[in-house]
Amino acid sequence: MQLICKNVSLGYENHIVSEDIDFTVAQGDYLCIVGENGAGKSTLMKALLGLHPPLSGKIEFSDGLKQNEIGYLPQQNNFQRDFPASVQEVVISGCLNRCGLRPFYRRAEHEAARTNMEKLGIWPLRERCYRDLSGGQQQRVLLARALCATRKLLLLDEPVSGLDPSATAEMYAIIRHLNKEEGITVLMISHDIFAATREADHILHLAHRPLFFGNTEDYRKSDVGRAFLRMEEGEQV
Amino acid sequence: MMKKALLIALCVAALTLTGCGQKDTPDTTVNTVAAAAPTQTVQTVQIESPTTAPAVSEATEAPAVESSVTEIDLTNISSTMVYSYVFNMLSTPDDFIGQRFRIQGIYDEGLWEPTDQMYHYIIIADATACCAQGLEFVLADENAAYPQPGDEIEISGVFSTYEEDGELYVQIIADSLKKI
Amino acid sequence: MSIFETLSGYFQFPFVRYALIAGVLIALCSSLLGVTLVLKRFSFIGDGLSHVAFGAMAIAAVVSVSNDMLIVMPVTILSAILLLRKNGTKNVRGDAALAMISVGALALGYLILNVFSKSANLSGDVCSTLFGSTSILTLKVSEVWLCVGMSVLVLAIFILFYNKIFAITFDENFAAATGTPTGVYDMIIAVVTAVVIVLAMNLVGSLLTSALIVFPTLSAMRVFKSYKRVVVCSAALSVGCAVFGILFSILVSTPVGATIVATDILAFMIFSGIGTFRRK
Repeated sequence: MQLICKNVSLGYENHIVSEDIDFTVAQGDYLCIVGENGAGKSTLMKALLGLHPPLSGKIEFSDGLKQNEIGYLPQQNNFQRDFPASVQEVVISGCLNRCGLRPFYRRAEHEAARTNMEKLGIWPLRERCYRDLSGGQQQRVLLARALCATRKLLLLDEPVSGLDPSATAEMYAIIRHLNKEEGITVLMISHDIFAATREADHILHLAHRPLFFGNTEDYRKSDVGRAFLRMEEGEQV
Repeated sequence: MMKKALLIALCVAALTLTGCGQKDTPDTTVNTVAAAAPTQTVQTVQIESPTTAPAVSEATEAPAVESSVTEIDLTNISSTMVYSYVFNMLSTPDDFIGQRFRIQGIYDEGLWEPTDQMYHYIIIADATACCAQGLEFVLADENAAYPQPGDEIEISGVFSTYEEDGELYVQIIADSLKKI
Repeated sequence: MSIFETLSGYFQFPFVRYALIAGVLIALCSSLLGVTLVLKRFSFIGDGLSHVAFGAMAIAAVVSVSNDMLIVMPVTILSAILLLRKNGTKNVRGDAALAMISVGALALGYLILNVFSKSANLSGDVCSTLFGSTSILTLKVSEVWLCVGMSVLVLAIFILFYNKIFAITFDENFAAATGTPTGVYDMIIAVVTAVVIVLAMNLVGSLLTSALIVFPTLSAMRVFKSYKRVVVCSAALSVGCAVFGILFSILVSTPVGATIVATDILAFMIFSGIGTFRRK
């Protein structure tokens, strides 16, 4: 097990957003976290990253995974989008956690950045300005950055929001490849329940109390799953 | 960002146009008032100020300069420079003792009750006439007449210090004064 | 006398040399700081803090301390830390608080000076502190050394922590998630901001420090696309404008601070033009 969450409750100040969260993630799993807005998905992600401590409960990392070795793909905010930075600079900033107090990047870090950029097909874009890229390209840059920060586990917060259909498909394909071929564990927050059930092998459905945790097959058969899928389908029609 | 840039641009434009006060336009007609003491012909030269590099403390030794040979002319440099130079003269007077200067400014005088003496000043303003400094001077010839307060004058004299009531003051002993 | 001869004559005066040394260092530090502040959307911090520094200076003048830096620096540093705490100005109340502190310090400072100061030329002193007409040319040697010392420190911080500052500026959440102690670096940036603003007051006066921080970065961003190039261009531009501004103002007798800012504005317009032209 790489990640164990036991009895976690999340919230702010004294307001509990979600509680009794219990789940585990093994190496190579692909877990999708779904739920309505406000269910605490982002809060859970922040807790996993150490950005916002849980109100109670335990979050454990093992199997050689440290909390600062998680690759994180956050939702993009606006001011990132017009930041003057080259793709190269953004991607290599993911290697910062390996530097400690060292002021400059070594060759190893430059190599890692190059490898990840090639993996995601953005090496030709390395001198381009981040803000001049399309949404899909920007997401791939941020994913490359996340890969620089980790070799084991990726945390993706709505990775396809704002992307057009072809970029979306590309993104899912890349994530699938990373998970299946490279064995990287993937935790993804998604609003798209269809994509989630299609791509992931485990589902965590969050609400004030978690409604479901288990593998996707069981989710599709469960009451919760069926209701949610039908509801989303109804909205889409 | 653009709006902020425009706003700053407008403010600075307004400031540089209005300024803090009125610039004094120097009188172009030169009225030479014959000073009682004969003016020595001096070589007007820009020489290096006696202050040395920052490593040395501010009080350096007084320059052994012949006060009758070279003169620092502050009349043909910009008013910003004059103001700054006079400021330095007043802050670190030891560096300038014995130095001869030629300076332009406005004459003013005032009676100070505690010593019941009249003190004479040449007032030097900065570029925007916003800040001004007064430099005390006395005419070398005790019988010479002082000008009227508000007159524009040019003096040439030697910088020195004196003590009065236990305090150190600076003054220029001017051996030539002319109205401009 | 040609301009060149006039200038070389002026260079003999030590205070001109001091002005250029201090001016170059202050411009360099302000522009480096400016890149971080502008990109983090904290540009107005420069304004707010410079007003606080003015207020502190007013108090220092009235209390007659031997070196007003003893009061101004700590007060400004403290305010910087309080204002730049994470998400300090991102909510409505934080933004309003900055406005209140900023204008309050200015008004109270001026009031204190008027009521308590024994200065002979009050409006001149205020004018000089607010707009820096000749302050850079009237620096004492000790002040120049202080300037050099602080600038070297600020430069060292920017060079050693270059990558970390980039990461925090671009995406603070990601940096925090991957283990960078963002709180510590935010505090370092806050302290550096305070120091640079207090030093910059000597060059361009309290009201114009914001310009010194903001304009070089904005100009650089119009033309350059990578962070490193923006930083280098911003620094070079800021130093160039400062030197030009100082020399121009002593030749032509314009107030130093406003001249430097006017030069920065000119540079901004030129760079904007280049940027627009390039895009076409």
